[in-house]
Amino acid sequence: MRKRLLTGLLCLAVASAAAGHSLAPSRLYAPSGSELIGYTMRAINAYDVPASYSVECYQHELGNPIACSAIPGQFRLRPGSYRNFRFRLDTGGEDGMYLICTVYDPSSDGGAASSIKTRVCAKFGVGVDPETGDPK
Amino acid sequence: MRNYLFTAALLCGAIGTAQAAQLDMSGAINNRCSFGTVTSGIMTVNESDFSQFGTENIGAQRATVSVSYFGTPTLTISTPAGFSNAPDLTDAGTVSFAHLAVLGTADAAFENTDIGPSTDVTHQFTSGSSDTVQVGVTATGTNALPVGNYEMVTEATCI
Repeated sequence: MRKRLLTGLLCLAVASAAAGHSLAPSRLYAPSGSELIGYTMRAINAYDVPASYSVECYQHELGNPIACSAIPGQFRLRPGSYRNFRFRLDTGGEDGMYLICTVYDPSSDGGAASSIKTRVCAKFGVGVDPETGDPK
Repeated sequence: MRNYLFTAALLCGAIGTAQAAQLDMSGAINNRCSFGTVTSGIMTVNESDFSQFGTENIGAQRATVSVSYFGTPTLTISTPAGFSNAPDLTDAGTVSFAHLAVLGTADAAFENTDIGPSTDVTHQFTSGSSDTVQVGVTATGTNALPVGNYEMVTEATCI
């Protein structure tokens, strides 16, 4: 039993150490008809290098960016550090799914021939379940 | 009289302690994911066809990023419309792009097939807790691509 527990804890530690760019919480909900939504999110830089992040918001899907106010909207984090940022988004009373994302572009931190920009998003359901998108 | 009062007080106290307090707790475990180290790719010229340039040639390598996740989050790869940085490509003629996205595990749905520019391919994880994404590209010009520095950035989004 103790061995299993230790193995489990070790796996958890490895999984945490492997993570580099993450965002919490990952799912949020506001009642139907909410005209203004906002929350304090936590951006985490578990990379072993400093990294710059920016905040982006989308409505329904990634191809549909929407204006949102984030404070700060761009920030740089030291290795293994995190910081909170607040965002506010005007839904205009429109229910649906909103995506709040942090974006890390490694090519902006030194340049590379071919690279991957990573984006981690939280789902914010307004009047809908943030996981399924079903009306709630 | 004092005994009666004392007994009554004890009874009331006993009745008071018998009242139940309901302490509720609630919570949720949500789908979530995070990215690990990004390894940049290297693009080289196809030595047998100078009009081809990308990550699939000798000496080249695809860009990779690891993903850690709980539950069944969705991973989207968005291919760019073209190079983010390149010399003047006028002499190269029309340049076409063939992207590819590959997931490292058996849970993979991305395949090693051509994906067009400005395209989203999506995969929902159904099992496991970590994976590795590889992205690559081949750019083909009508003529040989000119000398210079090239950059290309593909987007990986986890929701």
